[in-house]
Amino acid sequence: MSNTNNILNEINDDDLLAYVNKNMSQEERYDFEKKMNDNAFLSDAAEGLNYLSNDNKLNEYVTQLNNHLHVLTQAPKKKRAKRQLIVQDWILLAVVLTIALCTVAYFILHKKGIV
Amino acid sequence: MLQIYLNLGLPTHNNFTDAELLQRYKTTNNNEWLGVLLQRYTLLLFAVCMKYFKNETLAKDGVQQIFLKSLSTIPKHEIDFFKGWIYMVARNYCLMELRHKNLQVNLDDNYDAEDNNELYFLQEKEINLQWLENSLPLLNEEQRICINMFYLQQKTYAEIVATTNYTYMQVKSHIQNGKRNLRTLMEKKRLSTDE
Repeated sequence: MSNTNNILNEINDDDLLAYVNKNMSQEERYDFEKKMNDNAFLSDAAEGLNYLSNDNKLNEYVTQLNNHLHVLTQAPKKKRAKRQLIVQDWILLAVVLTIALCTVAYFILHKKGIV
Repeated sequence: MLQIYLNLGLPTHNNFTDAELLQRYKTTNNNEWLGVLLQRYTLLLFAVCMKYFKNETLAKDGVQQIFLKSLSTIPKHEIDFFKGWIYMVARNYCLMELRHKNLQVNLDDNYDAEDNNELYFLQEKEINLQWLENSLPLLNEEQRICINMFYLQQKTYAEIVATTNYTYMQVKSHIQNGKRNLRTLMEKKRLSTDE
């Protein structure tokens, strides 16, 4: 994640957490604050994390939200998968019925001495 | 202490930029690319929602709504700068919610939309220190002190708090407002030079 943010978004989640946790050197802190002054998104986020009542739950919240996002973006595929299952059920039923009909026909014809 | 969270959920596709992920979505029409893109901002969006709602459940609901809104809006828009766009979506959503719920909100006058404009960032870097020093006396005392300590003396917020007795939020606010006022002064100066 940190890589992603470094390269792509100039916002590093790990840095944000380190700043809020006060796990930065003076120099790093100053650089981060300079970045924050130029970036309202980062500044709001840093402020927002201070309002967490239970810091340990952050990981859980992010995971839940990512899972929810995963469901949202995967939804059409799942529906398709369900449809495929229904189609497969019909095929199975048709095959069983065909075999059953063939078997019955065979016995009838066999009884009449045709086969 | 905040824990470093695990990045569960969708694959991250670290080697793609936001713009490339958007392009891939446009080409394939596959929502999974949007999922990858939005997941990069989950923590930030949650944190921004926390700033406005100051409540974890509301913030979580907020992020989910922002995801839904983004998934329905992105296909209809050309987005050049995703980070700025998603921030504005989040901020507008939070403000609308607070308005609907008639909750009191302490709106910072710190930021305006142009803070998210990349061009603005580039222009900002062009402000030279000499000009900054000349313009400082035009700011009010609090802003002057904070801007001076932060930009000229390179002190951190914590050091400014310790020296001035302003609160952390006051320091942040004075710097943001001072910076905005300096920008306005710079614009005025530019206009007068052009004339």
